[in-house]
Amino acid sequence: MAIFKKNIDGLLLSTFPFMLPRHGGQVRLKKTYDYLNKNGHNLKSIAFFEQNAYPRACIGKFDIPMPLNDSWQIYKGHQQPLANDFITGEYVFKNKDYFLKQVQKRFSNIDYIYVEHPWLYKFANFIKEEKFHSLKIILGYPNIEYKLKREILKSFSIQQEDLIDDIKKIEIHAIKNSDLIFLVSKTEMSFCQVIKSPNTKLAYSKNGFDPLSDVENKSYQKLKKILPKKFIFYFGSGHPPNFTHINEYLGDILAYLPPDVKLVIAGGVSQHVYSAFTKDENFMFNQSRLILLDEISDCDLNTLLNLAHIIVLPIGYGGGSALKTAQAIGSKCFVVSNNIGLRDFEEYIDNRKIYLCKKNNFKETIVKLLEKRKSFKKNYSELTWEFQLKIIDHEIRGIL
Amino acid sequence: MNWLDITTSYNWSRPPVGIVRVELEAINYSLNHRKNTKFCIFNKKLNKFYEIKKDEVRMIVDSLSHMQTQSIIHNNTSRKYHKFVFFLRLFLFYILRDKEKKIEVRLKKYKPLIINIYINSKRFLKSLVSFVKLPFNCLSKKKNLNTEIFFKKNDTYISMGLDWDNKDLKYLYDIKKKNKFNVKFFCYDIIPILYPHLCSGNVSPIFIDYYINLAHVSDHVYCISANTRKDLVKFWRSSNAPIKSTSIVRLGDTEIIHDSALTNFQLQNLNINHLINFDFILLVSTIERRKNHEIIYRAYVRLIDKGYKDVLPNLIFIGMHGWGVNDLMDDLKYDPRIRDKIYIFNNISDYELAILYKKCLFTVYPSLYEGWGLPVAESLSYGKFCLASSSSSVPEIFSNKECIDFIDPWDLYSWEKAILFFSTNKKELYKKEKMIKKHFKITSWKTTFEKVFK
Repeated sequence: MAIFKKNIDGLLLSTFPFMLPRHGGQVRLKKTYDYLNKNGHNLKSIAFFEQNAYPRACIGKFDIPMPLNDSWQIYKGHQQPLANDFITGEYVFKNKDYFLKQVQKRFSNIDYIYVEHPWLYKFANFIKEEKFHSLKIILGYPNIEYKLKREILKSFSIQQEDLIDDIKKIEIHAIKNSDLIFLVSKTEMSFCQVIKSPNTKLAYSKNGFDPLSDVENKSYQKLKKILPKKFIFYFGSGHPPNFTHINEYLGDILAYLPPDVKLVIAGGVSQHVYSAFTKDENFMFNQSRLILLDEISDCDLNTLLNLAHIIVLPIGYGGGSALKTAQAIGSKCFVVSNNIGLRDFEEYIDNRKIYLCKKNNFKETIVKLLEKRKSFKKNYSELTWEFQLKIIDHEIRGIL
Repeated sequence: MNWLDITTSYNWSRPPVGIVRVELEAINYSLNHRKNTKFCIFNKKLNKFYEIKKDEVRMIVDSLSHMQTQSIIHNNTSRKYHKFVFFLRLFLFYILRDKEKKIEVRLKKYKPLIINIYINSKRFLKSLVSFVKLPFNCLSKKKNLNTEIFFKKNDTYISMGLDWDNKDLKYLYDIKKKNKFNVKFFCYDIIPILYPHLCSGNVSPIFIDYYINLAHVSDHVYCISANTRKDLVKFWRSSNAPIKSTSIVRLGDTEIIHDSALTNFQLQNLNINHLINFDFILLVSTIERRKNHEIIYRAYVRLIDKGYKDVLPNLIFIGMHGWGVNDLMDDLKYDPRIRDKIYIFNNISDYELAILYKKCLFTVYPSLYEGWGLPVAESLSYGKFCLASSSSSVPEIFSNKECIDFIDPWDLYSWEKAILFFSTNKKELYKKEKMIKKHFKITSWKTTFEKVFK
């Protein structure tokens, strides 16, 4: 049995703040941050973030904003759209001496640096080389970044292979040189296994869910006024690919939904879904079947995950394992997803609660399930955050 | 128990046309042949169905039929105006002499105003009377409306009105789900969805909403033609709506007015009275883009340009000025080539229309798209040959090629050729009319509704 160090000083580096999480990546980081601090780690975080892009409550104590002007966004002489994460990493590394001083001001000891995504890996390595020689570098690697970035750019009809090559170089370098890599799905696992150095350890920790609590009466009373008895639920942040392929799976018109069934949307994706369903002459009908909730509290999300009849996951592309997939599996609803929505959760497809569908049978499955009664007993405890984050704690302690 | 929804007729306050007329025929049929049918209306404000007792239904039928007669009186208003101007001119001629012309020009300018004042003063008086009667009416209506309906399991609810305006299909869906009764609707066409550009304004979203909800709420939909059924099912399929059972019902043909009824009838429109003494071709339809009057105008103009003016009969358009045809109306007004060839009349009574059908050489109907094509059936009912559009449902009306010719509505050359041929070959027309008499059978409304109320 391994003997673990009791008090561990860690630094968490990210390109986005996460104190008030909205999208999946933020939720995962916040969960990890909270869990480790509760379990004997002295973990501090620094997020290098774009100013004015996040609410104040989201920003952590040590977070560092990027300059207010857009000079930092210039890459290879021109503005680089949709790659702020990568550019942030490059900017921080370019100004590494200044940022190292900032780190030194805040931290006297660091046992490990947890770099979420490879963007800040070069800077983490610089800290190691310059100041804290014995620290370990841990990489949080939820996506194969170059592939994901290519998909995102493609969805906006942008082709920029030189950027993709640069991203690929950075992530291969990070995979090769990290001491420990946390992965969320098998796809990344196989990718890393080929590239990693012999000393790099790979650990598998999926995105999880918090077990549903009982519906709070206050939330129920509030939502009861706007929700129909039976509804289909989709939730997500307002980032691609959460909305890019919505019409391909749910159709241009929600004609298959009876008048008493609605499609309820929550989260930042709401406005994008609204646009997707009101772009043509079907707008009037679609509006009659849509309920947009926009941002909702965790308590309301809990209510919706309890009450919805079906959760849909019409995700266009992406790597890693989606956080909302775990939440959907842990909900009290049927789950209708495409293969990307259920990536790495394939073993849970049972055609009783969780259905894997293609474009051509997605809507048909929804219609069939609307007639079925919900009754599920399995609790999927291995998918809870508690279970998954324990792996992270265990693995970090193992390399120190 | 059959429940016939008569909301459209109940709320209608003008002479009945199109769908309103179909509903009215259904009411007449039910009153006379289906004694166990009950009548209901939907109150959109209260979201409730109410029973309407047969006595009141009869009153509604009488009142709408009366309006039909009244419309003839309305049409006479224009004639009254002319009489008024005639006597005024006489008066002015003697009193004012040289100033008479000036005043007449002014009168011409104010002609619509004078007619409007005449009609509106009548309407105003009517409204005033209704207003005074209102409290009493409310009391009596309330009495009638007291019986709210809760359809039961074996009931059948039938609706064939302007339901996209008058109904709440979501509510109907809810109560149907609860009480498990049968719901049957009519579909006349889905042109606003298929060809929104051929309709006035952007009504497509309203009809998309309506026909999808119809798919969810109905157990059966009666389509007025095979083409309409094909369009509806295709639309449902393409939008992933549930595909419900459908069947085709042929609408009843207009009851023809026989010569005996017309013997004592005198055409009050002096222009029509004059024109029926010459050969003419008849086109009965609202003048709007979809009806494609333009192709007939162009065919006429080309024939005139080619030197056939003298052999061409007059062309009479019967129909009100619809939407999207302002340029065409200008052409018809200002093109000197057709000034004494093409005539337009509006607000024609059934009797006047009957005379026009009987006296015309043949009829034309070049519509771009139809749900059915009533004027074609009407022409055949009067035994008149029709050069009809080959589009959509029109060929379904009567496919016997010995009796009717179909032409692509866009094919100007064919229209031109056919119009010239039948205008100059009365023997051919006579043969066609003989065949129509032999083969065309008028469909009665009874036959139509026997299928619906079975």
